Amino acid sequence: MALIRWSRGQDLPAFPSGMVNMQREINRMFDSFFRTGWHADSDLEPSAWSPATDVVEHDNEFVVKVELPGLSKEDVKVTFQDSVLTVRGEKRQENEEKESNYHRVERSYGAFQRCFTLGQSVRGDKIDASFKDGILTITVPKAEEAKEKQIDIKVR
Amino acid sequence: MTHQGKSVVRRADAENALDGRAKSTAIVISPSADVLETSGAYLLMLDMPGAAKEGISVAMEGESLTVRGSTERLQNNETEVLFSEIRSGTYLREFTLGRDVDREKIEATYEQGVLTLRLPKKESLKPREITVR
Repeated sequence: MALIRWSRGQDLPAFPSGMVNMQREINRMFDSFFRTGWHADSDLEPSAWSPATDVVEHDNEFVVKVELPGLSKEDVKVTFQDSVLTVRGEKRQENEEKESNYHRVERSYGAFQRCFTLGQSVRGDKIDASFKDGILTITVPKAEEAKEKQIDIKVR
Repeated sequence: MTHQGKSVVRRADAENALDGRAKSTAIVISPSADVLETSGAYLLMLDMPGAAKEGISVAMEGESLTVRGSTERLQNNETEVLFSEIRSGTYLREFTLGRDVDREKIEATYEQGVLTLRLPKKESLKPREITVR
């Protein structure tokens, strides 16, 4: 386990059990209720909204997926400094047609920022990010020394 | 003008619209939507990140418009999930169309994880100004 600074209280394990899903659903309900105002997602800056994120650890890399529907790669900035991976950006409410009325606004707009502290040594120069179908995928390769190596010990 | 728009989304909750096509075990996600009205059309924008374009369907039946889509998630046991907030499952949402929508001319586009539906108003029902002579 190599990630710290996680505060949304949603760090439930991804069990496929219905109970956990229900629990997650309830958490989300409360979350979305309390998230209407300024939500401090990190110690650095408050965010207007907080995109949902998955972090998965593979043998050789971490994969971070951030749900950012409606954003293009120009709207997002990914930085890595002092073991902290930061994703920030802004989703603007674009309105091409001048005379229009909003009847319903459920989607999130505004600036956001999410930080992930990577405790394990990673190769910062090899971090790769791509955008597809509204999902930003960041691949963070592990440093050689951080890869778990299996050592066979001879029993004498 | 604002009153006309309400009929488009009288009932927006789709949970009870689940039919045999959606697996009972799959989680149903109701995508967030913005509804915008211009003088000529209604615009529906739905956040459906991770849905494959091929898997999105927009169906019309009677007064209802149903949007479906499915997300693809990796099911790899060799990975360790550190945390998981992104919900995977089936997107499903139903809207009720107003009588002023021209059903023949509905257009759908999917870009950057957002499905945009353009529902043009019927020509005969568009507001028009009558010149006083």
